[in-house]
Amino acid sequence: MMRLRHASLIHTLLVVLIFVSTTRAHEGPPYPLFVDQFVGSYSVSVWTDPDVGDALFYVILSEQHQPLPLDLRVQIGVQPVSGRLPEAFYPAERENLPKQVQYKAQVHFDAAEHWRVRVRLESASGNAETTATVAATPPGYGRWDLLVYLVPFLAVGIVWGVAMVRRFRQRTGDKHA
Amino acid sequence: MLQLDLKTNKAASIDLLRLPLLGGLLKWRHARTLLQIPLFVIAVAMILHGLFGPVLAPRNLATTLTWIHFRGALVMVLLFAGNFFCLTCPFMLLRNLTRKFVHPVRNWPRRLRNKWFSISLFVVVLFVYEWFDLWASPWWTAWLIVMFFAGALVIDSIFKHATFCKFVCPIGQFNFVAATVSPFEVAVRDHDVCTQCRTKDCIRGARAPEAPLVVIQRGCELALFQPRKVGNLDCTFCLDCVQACPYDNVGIMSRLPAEELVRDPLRSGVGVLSRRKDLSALVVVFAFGALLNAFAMVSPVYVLEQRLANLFAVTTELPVLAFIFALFLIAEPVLLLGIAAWITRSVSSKQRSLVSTAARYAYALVPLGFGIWLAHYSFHFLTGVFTFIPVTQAAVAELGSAIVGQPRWGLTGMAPNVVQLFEFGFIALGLLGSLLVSYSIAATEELVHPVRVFVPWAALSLLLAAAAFWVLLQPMEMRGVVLGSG
Ligand code: SF4
Ligand code: SF4
Repeated sequence: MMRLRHASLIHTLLVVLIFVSTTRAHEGPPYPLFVDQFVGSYSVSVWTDPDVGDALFYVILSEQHQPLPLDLRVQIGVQPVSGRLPEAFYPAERENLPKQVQYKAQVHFDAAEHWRVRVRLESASGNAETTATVAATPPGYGRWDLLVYLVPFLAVGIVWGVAMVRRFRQRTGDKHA
Repeated sequence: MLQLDLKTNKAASIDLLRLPLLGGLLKWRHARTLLQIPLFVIAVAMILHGLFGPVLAPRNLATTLTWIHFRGALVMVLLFAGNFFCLTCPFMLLRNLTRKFVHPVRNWPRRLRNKWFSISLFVVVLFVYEWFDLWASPWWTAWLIVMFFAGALVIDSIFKHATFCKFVCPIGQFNFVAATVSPFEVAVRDHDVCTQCRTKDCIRGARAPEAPLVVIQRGCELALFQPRKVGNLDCTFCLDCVQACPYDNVGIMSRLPAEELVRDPLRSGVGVLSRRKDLSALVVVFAFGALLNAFAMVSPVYVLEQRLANLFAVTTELPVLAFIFALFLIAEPVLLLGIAAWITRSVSSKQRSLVSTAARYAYALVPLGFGIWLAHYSFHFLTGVFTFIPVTQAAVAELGSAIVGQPRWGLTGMAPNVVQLFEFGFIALGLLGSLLVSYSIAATEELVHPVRVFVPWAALSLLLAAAAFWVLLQPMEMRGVVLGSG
């Protein structure tokens, strides 16, 4: 799935450059929803890549003040702020990365709108939760967005290329003269 | 469109030193010190915060400023201007101060007057960065900064001239190579003036008329004699030559980026590029290191590490990492450049050794390598550009002051999906540059079949660019953003 979307980004890039109108979704890295917020006795940071469709949430827990309980379970609940859908919960999987404890959850957003996100931490030693709001990212770039961002690169590339060729011709011309 | 000035054989240039305000500032005798002082203060704050502040990387000035802001700003300035980091380098502030009291008399050993030692240090820094997870360790990051200060101080207190910058500093080597793609260089304004010049103060230093043995303004400490200086290699933009020239004949001139990589004249203080195997090796490490450093921040690296650990039946990271480094920085370049050089030799009219051929064409990889570094570092920089605000607020709050308010952790930077487009743009531009340079080298060297010679080097650039695009498209681990850096 991910590879397919990656392939489609290259596809998009090429296609837009030749002014055809198809666009597809992007794959971008996550950004922080909040950092080092105290939730119960935990210090929690939540990062998200909120694409419409499959969105990712990373919950990073700090072990600074006390060891994390072994039975800790993390869940992410999402619901449109408008309330048009009931809240849906998704379990987060623990990932062991160097020097941090991280839980990752994949949730589903069906539309580009504001969603309320609930981070729930459960263990025998107590439960805690916090909420935040996130805007689900529209699926992919608009054609004009892509043009606006890529035109400067194209322009620089053309000017650079022409200047290099001219300089080269001039130099070899001088050499042969 | 660029206009060529046929008399000087140069594009009509913009001279930054002739711009109002900026020019005046840069030409001021104490400009360098003035610019170094704030960076020195920031560096000291980073060290203190790294050693005594929060252990969590995204909350610490040492990690945030080093791995997000410093690296990103560095490549941006190199892209849009030139090697201005070396101009403002805080390590040199302390060193210059010490030089007022300590006057070294020794020369750097002849055997070490090349780039091999600094290449090793460059690789060591890349390796240590991965091994000690420097992006996640304020403490180790602070020690790294301390080591740079100490290295500059000790080496330049023992050895004459700018030994640390020219032969040791890994950041300097990175800047020298990247600056070959920069749009500005420190250069002579009018070569006719230099022809008439008798004193050559730009290299010898300006002396007091009443005491000709006393140097009142040093000349170029990196042995770059302005009239024969070509391009940005080894130039720290220190502007000593600007201060020393009695005819105000040195400027910071605009030029065609990367063009210096095509030409192969005898360069003052550098020599002939095609004969400098150490410089070619530096360029290769620069280009392949860019790919390795970017690859190390995406999730497939964990899979690879795990597989290698299983294969070698080891449980520690060191041998696995060493293997990956050897693969990316030795085996892969030797193989790929070897193949390209072998094809070149077989279609070329020139009789050159395989190593010499590879050494000559390796310079064409610089634009692409720089494009990959740019893509990588600008990603962290642009997506986290405002993170220094909450981290600074938190640092000030730790000192018990509420003067800058509560940390606004929501301040981050540009949307990652937009920045990702920039990443593609940088790599594509780098690829274009490498293709242009390799074709120009081929056409300069091969009058009969330049295209045949160009093809293997174009293929190599395309292969590396494809690998870079692939890396960009991989899901990044959290280390790739503010919680750490890749
Ligand atoms: S740059 Fe200035 S000091 Fe150096 S040779 Fe030219 S005129 Fe003389
Ligand atoms: S003195 Fe040397 S290193 Fe400094 S700016 Fe001039 S040429 Fe560059």
